[in-house]
Amino acid sequence: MIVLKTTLVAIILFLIYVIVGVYTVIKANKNLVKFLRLVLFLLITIMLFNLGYKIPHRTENINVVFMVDNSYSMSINNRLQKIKNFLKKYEKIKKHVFKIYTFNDELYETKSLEEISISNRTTLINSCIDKLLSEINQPSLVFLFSDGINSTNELPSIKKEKAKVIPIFIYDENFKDKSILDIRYSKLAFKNVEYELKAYIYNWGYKDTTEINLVDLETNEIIFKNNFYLKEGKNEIIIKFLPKKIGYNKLKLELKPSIDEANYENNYAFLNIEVKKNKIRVLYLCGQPSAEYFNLRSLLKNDPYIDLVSFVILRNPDDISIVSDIDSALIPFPTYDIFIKELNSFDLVIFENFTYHRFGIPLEYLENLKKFVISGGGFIMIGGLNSFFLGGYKFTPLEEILPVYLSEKEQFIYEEIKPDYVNLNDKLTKILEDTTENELLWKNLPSLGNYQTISAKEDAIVLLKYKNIPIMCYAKKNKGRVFVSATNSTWRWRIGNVLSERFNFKDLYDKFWKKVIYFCAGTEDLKNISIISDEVYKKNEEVEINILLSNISNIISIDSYLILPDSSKKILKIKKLQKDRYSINFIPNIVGKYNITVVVKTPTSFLKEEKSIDIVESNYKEISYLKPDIDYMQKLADFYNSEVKNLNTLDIFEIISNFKKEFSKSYAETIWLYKHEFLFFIFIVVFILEIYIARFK
Amino acid sequence: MRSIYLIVTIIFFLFFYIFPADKFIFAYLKYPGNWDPYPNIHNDILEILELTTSVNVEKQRIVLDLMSDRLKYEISKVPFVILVGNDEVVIPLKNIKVLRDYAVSGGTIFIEDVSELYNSRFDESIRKILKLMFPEYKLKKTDKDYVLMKSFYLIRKVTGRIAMYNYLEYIEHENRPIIIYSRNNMISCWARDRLGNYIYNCIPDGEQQRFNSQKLFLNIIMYSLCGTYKMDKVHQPYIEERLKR
Repeated sequence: MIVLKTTLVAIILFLIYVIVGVYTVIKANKNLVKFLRLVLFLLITIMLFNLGYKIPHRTENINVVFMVDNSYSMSINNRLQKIKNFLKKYEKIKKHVFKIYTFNDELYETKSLEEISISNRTTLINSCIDKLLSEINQPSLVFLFSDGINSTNELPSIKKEKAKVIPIFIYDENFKDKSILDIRYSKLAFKNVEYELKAYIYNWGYKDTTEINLVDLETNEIIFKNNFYLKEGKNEIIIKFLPKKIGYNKLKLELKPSIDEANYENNYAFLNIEVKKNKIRVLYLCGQPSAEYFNLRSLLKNDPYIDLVSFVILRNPDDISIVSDIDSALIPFPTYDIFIKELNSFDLVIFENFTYHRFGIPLEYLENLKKFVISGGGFIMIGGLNSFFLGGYKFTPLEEILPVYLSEKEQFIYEEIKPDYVNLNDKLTKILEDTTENELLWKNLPSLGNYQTISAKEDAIVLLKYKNIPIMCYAKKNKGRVFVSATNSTWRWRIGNVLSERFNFKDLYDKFWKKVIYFCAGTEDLKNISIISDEVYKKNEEVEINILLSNISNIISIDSYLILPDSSKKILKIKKLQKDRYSINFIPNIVGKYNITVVVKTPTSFLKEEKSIDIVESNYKEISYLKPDIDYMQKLADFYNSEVKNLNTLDIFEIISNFKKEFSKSYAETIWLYKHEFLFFIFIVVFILEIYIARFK
Repeated sequence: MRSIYLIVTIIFFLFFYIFPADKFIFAYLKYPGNWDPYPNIHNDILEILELTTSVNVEKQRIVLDLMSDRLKYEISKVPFVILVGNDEVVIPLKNIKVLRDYAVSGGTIFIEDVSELYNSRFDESIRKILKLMFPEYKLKKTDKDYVLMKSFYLIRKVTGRIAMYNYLEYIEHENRPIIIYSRNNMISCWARDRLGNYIYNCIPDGEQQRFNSQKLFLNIIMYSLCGTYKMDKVHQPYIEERLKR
């Protein structure tokens, strides 16, 4: 508007000047041409050199906005209160339009300082600035009061020419704190297999060592304890321990509090780990050497999933010894250790043709075994002359947990028998997926060579029977599982593999007994391939995933690939850590669901396991990081071409005054003369006039 | 007369005999040739086994015909078989496959060369058969820590009637020996005459060597019923301590 008025005045003055000039020239024709040519020269000069003039922009009132961080971290060392105290003196000054906003991960307009209080929310400085600037159209000066602790490292995306953001930083002198920033751990662990978790710990201001404990919240037992030297800043601590307790373990990681810490709440972190059985510990007691023992032991011993402790009675008390002790390989039968000390370390106990009374085992020990089963252990009794009633188990605690009745009429009969299968869809008898093939396999099995005349209890699930005698059956007893085999001649299925070209009876024997063992030990869900990972990881942070192979031999190859959220595929390099343990690493740069696939090839099988993990935006826990972040504030200042100011030395009016001056200079309007249409009009008029006078007068 | 007795015995086993599945059965492999040089030794072996161990034994031995089409039916009912000889052994190819399937499925085959020769026709033919049977495996030699040296008695030296080789040979599959091969004529140490006297002297150490050889043979039987049991960790401190003495 001002520019327009000035231009009009100039035009009018110029026209007056021209009219006066023309009148004078007409009177004194001689100088007129010279004058006109001078005017033309001036006009051409203005056009050639783009001449113009500046008009300063006057800014009497600007918006002054106070953005005050009220996130959780502002409660530390009264940071928010210091800001409020500072701003009180400006609140009543009416010279400028002061506006107050509070922010955390959201932006709120606030009427007075009194309304501002600490929130428990995190901080998103960048998005709050963006939100504010998107609403500003007038010259504004934004004072951002914060400790700089932000949930993301990203800067704002909006810049406005008329707005300036000035970060005001609160210095915390002598800030001291130790905090757990993050814990990287797998939710899945295996019993007695070393478990590793990584803890990221901040240390500000302490130079001594820090005691770090991992506590089982259910038992209050400290399962890990060590002193670590923590350097100033971020530390990575690796904690290793052996999980012992099957099931969900609620654990607490704690940093022992130090004096003068800014906050003690961030000294703790909680984790929930599910501990599964990695190896089944089996105790196998056999009353006399036999082919059944030979084959079953061989099967168990070659299973990497099974930790077998077995005792076979090689010599009975009534047998003769023909050599001295030093020439004998026999060892004493450690009944006390087995039935009292070590029993609960096993998952499964097998009695094959084993009688307790011949070895002076008291009934109390059998009571202990019964308790072991009821509380979740497994028990298998395999037939023979020393089993069931013939083994003296009538009226013992074991009679109660067996799924069969023990009768004094019991006999052990040597007879070639082919038992009838009762249910081939049972999890234990379903060896082949194809029902017809599975049925054919069981139908063609080699005959068994003996059986015990037992009868099934009502709760027994019978798998195989012969003349109503349960040859194999099982039942659940409270938390435990008990399996019974009335014969000790199943080894014939294994060696009977020679009988058939079509069927693999050895495979049936191996799979059937493994299913029985795993089932009774309560680990039928054990997998060949376990992908051990967290469920959620952060974007741009390394993901490390462990792969545990179990029960796989003769591995030809092991491969792994990722399906990213954008459906692209990425082959992952597998690193061998130790036998049956591998790891894969990658850094995700897209947020979303990642599917990990591990494929293991063996000469006889193709095993595959999949697992999906979520990648989320990096999001710091505010309570974990409480030290004022000057670096982020500096980045903000750089982004807005301003300077970080210290609250203690801050002079708001000086900044406002400087901003005004700066703004006036920056926004002074330039009038470009050559752009005005009237200039060309005058030029043409003068030019015609000059021709007219010079040629015709 | 002996042939008639054998034929009757075989017919009996084929049609009437019930293989006691949880007992130790002394099973010989028969072939055209000297497959049974010491016919009655099983009586002594089984008696000692019964007297000194908890093994439940079947008193009679059984004979399985290596030439027979029924070999696979019979062999599938015994976990341990013995093949003995001093001359060339010829086994039909299909039964070599049966023996292989038997061994890898859980059976144990003990082979004894009783020729007492360094270069015997028996040894030559057995090595050829084993090559056919297990082209992927080679015969290995036992050392003093091998499971056969401690499966029941602690054996410090491998011997037989003679002491030509201080080792046994074996083929291993799934971490256990499936073929055990001796060339020291171990089983002849059990042979007695009608008066109960041992027929063959043991060279060079006499009766001490006989006792050692008998114990080694019993160890092989115990292994066929217990597997590598004595290799378990729980036994090692005891065994090591006794071997030091």
